[in-house]
Amino acid sequence: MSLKLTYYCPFDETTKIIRVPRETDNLYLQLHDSNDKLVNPSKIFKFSKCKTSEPSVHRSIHQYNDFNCFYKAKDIWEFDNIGVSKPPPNIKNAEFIKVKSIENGEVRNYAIVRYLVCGHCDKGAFGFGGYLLDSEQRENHVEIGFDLSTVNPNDLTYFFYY
Amino acid sequence: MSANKGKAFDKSMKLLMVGDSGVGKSCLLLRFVDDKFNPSFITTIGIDFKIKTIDQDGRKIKLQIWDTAGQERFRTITTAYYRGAMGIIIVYDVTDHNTFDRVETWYKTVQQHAKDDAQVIIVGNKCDEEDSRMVSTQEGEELANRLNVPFIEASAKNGLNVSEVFYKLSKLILEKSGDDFQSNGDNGDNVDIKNGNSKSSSGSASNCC
Repeated sequence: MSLKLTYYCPFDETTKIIRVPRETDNLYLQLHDSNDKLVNPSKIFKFSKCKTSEPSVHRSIHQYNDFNCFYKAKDIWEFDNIGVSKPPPNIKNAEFIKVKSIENGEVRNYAIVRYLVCGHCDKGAFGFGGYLLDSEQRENHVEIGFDLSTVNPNDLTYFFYY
Repeated sequence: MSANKGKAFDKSMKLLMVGDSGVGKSCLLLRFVDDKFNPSFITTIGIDFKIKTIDQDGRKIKLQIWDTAGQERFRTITTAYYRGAMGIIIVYDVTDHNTFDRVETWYKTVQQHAKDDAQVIIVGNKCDEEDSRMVSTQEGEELANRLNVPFIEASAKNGLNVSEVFYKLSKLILEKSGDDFQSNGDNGDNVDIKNGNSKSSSGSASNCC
């Protein structure tokens, strides 16, 4: 048995999106914080779950079912076939997401800079490229209208909707 | 396979598409589909680049393909786009002779900005529109011969030869560079287009292809 599980585009069902290690601690749950006005995904669209050739384990765990779960990729090269969207023109147009590490409970805020779509049929999204900001930074960046297109895509953290 | 451990692919290479605006560069990268799920999402936001994994003679190659659409005016950005590019796709529109006449100018720009061993391919797009064709296949071939680069006609609209463009160019890069260029996936600095002062450019210049 392979150490990794292959995820396919759920729309065309043939495009290999990514191979995720079967055993990984790089999992994050999305937190919904109604008091936080900046946390707003996703007004644009919902994330779509990729298919596997076999049922994946975590979906049978009850507590995960009510949460959006993401796998944190090592970098963009970990994906096999993926389209990476352009950054929003201004941080004021960006979506923000709050996630919590399953491994250590650490909570992190990201500005969503890029969405990940199928590298073949362009449907999605299957994840995002996030720019890490703590709460204070986040407010400052929004206030000054920080230009997210200046962020090197290589410096983003890529999350796959798991 | 477990023997591979962390190494999931053999080579990675950055490819860049250039050419006049309107020739259909974005369409070569983006497949316009009836998207009943997110009708306007990807057409409004747009794609900056794609990662495509292809099999080239048993080797797993990861291509990072960049679209310069809309950036043509910004010379400084364009210059940054060329950094680290191992292959350049010069696109013209077979139904618009002006875009073909500008191919040579694009070729010179490429010579100026891309690294010396970057491979170039010329693509005549929209070859499905025979009725409004202004540039013959022969004209395209002659120009490519003169510049000594490969040539292919493609149609983003019906998908003809689109993947061949990427296969042909990546094969050429493999042949020309052999195993010289950095293998494996840690040449992530290829991603760097906007931020000129990255580690790789200030550190060892030879590090990044």
